[in-house]
Amino acid sequence: MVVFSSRLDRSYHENLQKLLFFNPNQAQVAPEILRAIERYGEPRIAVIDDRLRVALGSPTEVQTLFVLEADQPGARLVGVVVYTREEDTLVVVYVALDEAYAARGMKAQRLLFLRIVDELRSVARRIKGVGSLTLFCGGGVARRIRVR
Amino acid sequence: MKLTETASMPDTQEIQSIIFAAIDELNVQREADRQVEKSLDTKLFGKDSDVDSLDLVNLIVSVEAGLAERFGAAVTLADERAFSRKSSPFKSVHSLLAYIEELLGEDPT
Repeated sequence: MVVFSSRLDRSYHENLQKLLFFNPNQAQVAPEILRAIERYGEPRIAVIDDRLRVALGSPTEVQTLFVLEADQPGARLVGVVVYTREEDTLVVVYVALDEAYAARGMKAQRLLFLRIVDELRSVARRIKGVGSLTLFCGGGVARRIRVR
Repeated sequence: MKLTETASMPDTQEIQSIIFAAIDELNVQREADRQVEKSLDTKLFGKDSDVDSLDLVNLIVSVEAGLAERFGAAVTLADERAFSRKSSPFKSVHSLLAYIEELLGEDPT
Protein backbone atom coordinates (compact mmCIF):
# COMPACT_ATOMS: atom_id res chain seq x y z
CA MET A 1 0.00 0.00 0.00
CA VAL A 2 1.24 3.51 -0.76
CA VAL A 3 0.31 6.67 1.09
CA PHE A 4 0.63 10.29 0.06
CA SER A 5 2.00 13.00 2.28
CA SER A 6 2.86 16.64 1.85
CA ARG A 7 5.36 16.33 4.68
CA LEU A 8 8.60 14.38 4.86
CA ASP A 9 10.94 14.09 7.78
CA ARG A 10 14.53 15.25 7.22
CA SER A 11 15.78 11.71 7.89
CA TYR A 12 14.68 10.96 4.29
CA HIS A 13 17.12 13.49 2.85
CA GLU A 14 19.39 10.91 1.23
CA ASN A 15 16.45 8.92 -0.18
CA LEU A 16 14.92 12.04 -1.66
CA GLN A 17 18.25 13.07 -3.14
CA LYS A 18 18.63 9.65 -4.74
CA LEU A 19 15.10 9.71 -6.13
CA LEU A 20 15.35 13.21 -7.55
CA PHE A 21 18.92 13.42 -8.77
CA PHE A 22 20.31 9.89 -9.18
CA ASN A 23 17.32 8.14 -10.65
CA PRO A 24 18.15 5.54 -13.35
CA ASN A 25 14.85 6.25 -15.12
CA GLN A 26 15.68 9.90 -15.71
CA ALA A 27 17.56 9.19 -18.92
CA GLN A 28 14.29 8.09 -20.56
CA VAL A 29 12.63 11.44 -19.91
CA ALA A 30 15.68 13.68 -20.21
CA PRO A 31 14.11 16.06 -22.79
CA GLU A 32 11.06 16.57 -20.53
CA ILE A 33 13.29 17.22 -17.50
CA LEU A 34 15.36 19.74 -19.44
CA ARG A 35 12.21 21.51 -20.59
CA ALA A 36 10.96 21.70 -17.00
CA ILE A 37 14.32 23.06 -15.79
CA GLU A 38 14.27 25.66 -18.54
CA ARG A 39 10.81 26.80 -17.55
CA TYR A 40 10.78 26.39 -13.76
CA GLY A 41 14.43 26.19 -12.73
CA GLU A 42 16.38 23.34 -11.20
CA PRO A 43 14.82 21.53 -8.28
CA ARG A 44 16.69 21.54 -4.99
CA ILE A 45 15.99 20.07 -1.59
CA ALA A 46 15.27 22.49 1.21
CA VAL A 47 14.98 21.72 4.93
CA ILE A 48 12.42 23.80 6.76
CA ASP A 49 11.49 23.07 10.38
CA ASP A 50 13.01 19.59 10.17
CA ARG A 51 10.85 18.79 7.14
CA LEU A 52 11.99 18.34 3.59
CA ARG A 53 10.53 20.16 0.66
CA VAL A 54 11.48 20.64 -2.94
CA ALA A 55 12.11 24.18 -4.08
CA LEU A 56 12.89 25.47 -7.54
CA GLY A 57 15.57 27.76 -8.87
CA SER A 58 12.88 30.23 -9.87
CA PRO A 59 10.35 32.32 -7.95
CA THR A 60 7.60 29.77 -8.73
CA GLU A 61 5.82 28.64 -5.56
CA VAL A 62 5.52 24.86 -5.62
CA GLN A 63 3.94 22.12 -3.54
CA THR A 64 5.42 18.69 -3.04
CA LEU A 65 3.64 15.40 -2.62
CA PHE A 66 5.67 12.47 -1.32
CA VAL A 67 4.69 8.85 -1.87
CA LEU A 68 5.61 6.33 0.79
CA GLU A 69 5.35 2.57 0.78
CA ALA A 70 3.44 2.03 3.98
CA ASP A 71 3.16 -1.74 3.97
CA GLN A 72 6.77 -2.08 5.11
CA PRO A 73 8.36 -0.95 8.35
CA GLY A 74 10.18 2.34 7.93
CA ALA A 75 7.86 3.57 5.15
CA ARG A 76 10.18 3.67 2.13
CA LEU A 77 10.04 6.78 -0.05
CA VAL A 78 9.01 5.61 -3.54
CA GLY A 79 7.85 8.73 -5.31
CA VAL A 80 7.82 12.48 -5.34
CA VAL A 81 5.79 14.93 -7.37
CA VAL A 82 6.27 18.69 -7.53
CA TYR A 83 3.39 20.81 -8.75
CA THR A 84 2.29 24.39 -8.93
CA ARG A 85 -0.86 26.33 -9.59
CA GLU A 86 -1.10 28.37 -12.78
CA GLU A 87 -4.43 30.18 -12.90
CA ASP A 88 -7.14 27.49 -13.19
CA THR A 89 -4.85 24.49 -13.46
CA LEU A 90 -2.38 22.52 -11.35
CA VAL A 91 0.78 21.95 -13.36
CA VAL A 92 2.90 18.90 -12.65
CA VAL A 93 6.47 20.19 -12.79
CA TYR A 94 8.53 17.12 -11.77
CA VAL A 95 7.74 13.50 -11.06
CA ALA A 96 10.22 10.89 -9.85
CA LEU A 97 9.35 7.27 -9.22
CA ASP A 98 11.37 4.55 -7.59
CA GLU A 99 12.80 2.19 -10.22
CA ALA A 100 10.66 -0.72 -8.98
CA TYR A 101 7.50 1.27 -9.75
CA ALA A 102 8.52 2.35 -13.25
CA ALA A 103 6.70 0.87 -16.25
CA ARG A 104 8.92 -2.20 -16.45
CA GLY A 105 9.84 -2.42 -12.78
CA MET A 106 9.01 -5.25 -10.37
CA LYS A 107 6.07 -3.30 -8.95
CA ALA A 108 4.78 -1.82 -12.20
CA GLN A 109 1.40 -3.47 -11.63
CA ARG A 110 0.81 -1.08 -8.72
CA LEU A 111 0.50 1.72 -11.29
CA LEU A 112 2.06 4.35 -9.10
CA PHE A 113 2.00 7.14 -11.68
CA LEU A 114 -1.71 6.63 -12.31
CA ARG A 115 -2.29 6.69 -8.53
CA ILE A 116 -0.34 9.95 -8.32
CA VAL A 117 -2.52 11.45 -11.05
CA ASP A 118 -5.63 10.28 -9.21
CA GLU A 119 -4.36 11.86 -5.98
CA LEU A 120 -3.53 15.12 -7.75
CA ARG A 121 -7.01 15.18 -9.25
CA SER A 122 -8.40 14.97 -5.70
CA VAL A 123 -6.08 17.76 -4.58
CA ALA A 124 -7.14 19.90 -7.56
CA ARG A 125 -10.83 19.30 -6.88
CA ARG A 126 -10.39 20.66 -3.36
CA ILE A 127 -8.94 23.94 -4.59
CA LYS A 128 -11.46 26.59 -5.48
CA GLY A 129 -11.04 27.87 -9.02
CA VAL A 130 -8.95 24.93 -10.22
CA GLY A 131 -10.57 22.83 -12.92
CA SER A 132 -7.75 20.82 -14.42
CA LEU A 133 -4.41 19.14 -14.01
CA THR A 134 -1.69 19.76 -16.60
CA LEU A 135 0.96 17.21 -17.48
CA PHE A 136 3.76 17.70 -19.95
CA CYS A 137 4.07 14.68 -22.19
CA GLY A 138 6.52 13.69 -24.91
CA GLY A 139 7.65 16.55 -27.13
CA GLY A 140 6.61 19.10 -24.51
CA VAL A 141 2.93 18.69 -25.35
CA ALA A 142 0.77 19.95 -22.49
CA ARG A 143 -2.06 17.58 -21.62
CA ARG A 144 -4.93 19.06 -19.63
CA ILE A 145 -6.92 16.65 -17.51
CA ARG A 146 -10.30 17.87 -16.33
CA VAL A 147 -10.89 17.27 -12.65
CA ARG A 148 -14.51 18.30 -12.25
CA MET B 1 -20.67 8.06 -13.96
CA LYS B 2 -23.83 8.56 -16.02
CA LEU B 3 -24.67 8.41 -19.67
CA THR B 4 -26.52 11.47 -20.85
CA GLU B 5 -30.06 11.08 -22.13
CA THR B 6 -29.01 11.57 -25.73
CA ALA B 7 -26.16 9.06 -25.60
CA SER B 8 -26.80 5.56 -26.85
CA MET B 9 -25.62 2.49 -25.01
CA PRO B 10 -22.00 1.64 -25.61
CA ASP B 11 -20.97 -0.70 -28.32
CA THR B 12 -17.79 -2.81 -28.04
CA GLN B 13 -16.55 -1.70 -31.46
CA GLU B 14 -17.02 1.96 -30.58
CA ILE B 15 -15.14 1.61 -27.32
CA GLN B 16 -12.36 -0.20 -29.15
CA SER B 17 -12.22 2.63 -31.69
CA ILE B 18 -11.89 5.16 -28.88
CA ILE B 19 -8.99 3.18 -27.37
CA PHE B 20 -7.31 2.80 -30.76
CA ALA B 21 -7.73 6.53 -31.42
CA ALA B 22 -6.00 7.19 -28.09
CA ILE B 23 -3.15 4.88 -29.18
CA ASP B 24 -2.92 6.83 -32.47
CA GLU B 25 -2.66 10.04 -30.46
CA LEU B 26 0.08 8.49 -28.33
CA ASN B 27 1.98 7.24 -31.36
CA VAL B 28 2.19 10.75 -32.81
CA GLN B 29 4.51 11.57 -29.91
CA ARG B 30 6.64 8.44 -30.30
CA GLU B 31 9.43 7.56 -32.70
CA ALA B 32 8.56 5.45 -35.77
CA ASP B 33 10.29 2.39 -34.31
CA ARG B 34 8.49 2.71 -30.94
CA GLN B 35 4.89 2.72 -32.09
CA VAL B 36 2.32 1.06 -29.81
CA GLU B 37 0.44 -1.67 -31.65
CA LYS B 38 -3.31 -1.27 -32.04
CA SER B 39 -4.29 -4.71 -30.88
CA LEU B 40 -6.41 -6.13 -28.09
CA ASP B 41 -3.34 -8.10 -26.99
CA THR B 42 -1.18 -5.00 -26.51
CA LYS B 43 0.19 -4.94 -22.96
CA LEU B 44 -0.09 -1.57 -21.24
CA PHE B 45 2.49 -2.10 -18.51
CA GLY B 46 5.02 -4.64 -17.30
CA LYS B 47 8.07 -6.26 -18.84
CA ASP B 48 6.32 -7.17 -22.10
CA SER B 49 5.03 -3.65 -22.63
CA ASP B 50 6.54 -0.82 -24.61
CA VAL B 51 4.28 1.71 -22.88
CA ASP B 52 5.95 3.78 -20.16
CA SER B 53 4.26 5.33 -17.11
CA LEU B 54 3.69 8.71 -18.74
CA ASP B 55 2.36 7.05 -21.90
CA LEU B 56 -0.11 5.06 -19.84
CA VAL B 57 -1.41 8.17 -18.09
CA ASN B 58 -1.64 9.90 -21.45
CA LEU B 59 -3.52 6.97 -22.96
CA ILE B 60 -6.00 6.68 -20.10
CA VAL B 61 -6.70 10.41 -20.17
CA SER B 62 -7.26 10.33 -23.95
CA VAL B 63 -9.66 7.40 -23.57
CA GLU B 64 -11.57 9.25 -20.83
CA ALA B 65 -11.87 12.28 -23.11
CA GLY B 66 -13.00 10.09 -26.01
CA LEU B 67 -15.66 8.42 -23.90
CA ALA B 68 -16.93 11.76 -22.64
CA GLU B 69 -17.20 13.04 -26.19
CA ARG B 70 -18.88 9.96 -27.64
CA PHE B 71 -21.13 8.83 -24.81
CA GLY B 72 -21.57 12.05 -22.86
CA ALA B 73 -20.22 10.15 -19.90
CA ALA B 74 -17.79 11.59 -17.38
CA VAL B 75 -15.79 8.45 -16.74
CA THR B 76 -12.82 8.31 -14.41
CA LEU B 77 -10.90 5.17 -15.27
CA ALA B 78 -7.92 5.53 -12.97
CA ASP B 79 -9.30 5.60 -9.47
CA GLU B 80 -9.25 3.49 -6.32
CA ARG B 81 -11.90 1.19 -7.70
CA ALA B 82 -9.62 0.22 -10.59
CA PHE B 83 -6.48 0.11 -8.45
CA SER B 84 -8.01 -2.20 -5.88
CA ARG B 85 -8.84 -4.90 -8.41
CA LYS B 86 -6.87 -8.09 -8.11
CA SER B 87 -6.37 -8.17 -11.85
CA SER B 88 -5.61 -4.69 -13.16
CA PRO B 89 -7.97 -3.32 -15.82
CA PHE B 90 -4.95 -1.58 -17.35
CA LYS B 91 -3.00 -4.74 -18.03
CA SER B 92 -3.85 -4.79 -21.73
CA VAL B 93 -6.07 -3.13 -24.30
CA HIS B 94 -8.46 -6.07 -23.94
CA SER B 95 -8.79 -5.73 -20.15
CA LEU B 96 -9.21 -1.95 -20.49
CA LEU B 97 -12.00 -2.43 -23.01
CA ALA B 98 -13.76 -4.95 -20.75
CA TYR B 99 -13.48 -2.57 -17.79
CA ILE B 100 -14.96 0.34 -19.76
CA GLU B 101 -17.83 -1.83 -20.94
CA GLU B 102 -18.49 -2.78 -17.35
CA LEU B 103 -18.46 0.85 -16.16
CA LEU B 104 -20.65 2.13 -18.97
CA GLY B 105 -23.05 -0.76 -18.63
CA GLU B 106 -23.73 -0.10 -14.98
CA ASP B 107 -27.12 1.03 -13.84
CA PRO B 108 -26.66 4.71 -12.94
CA THR B 109 -29.19 4.39 -10.13
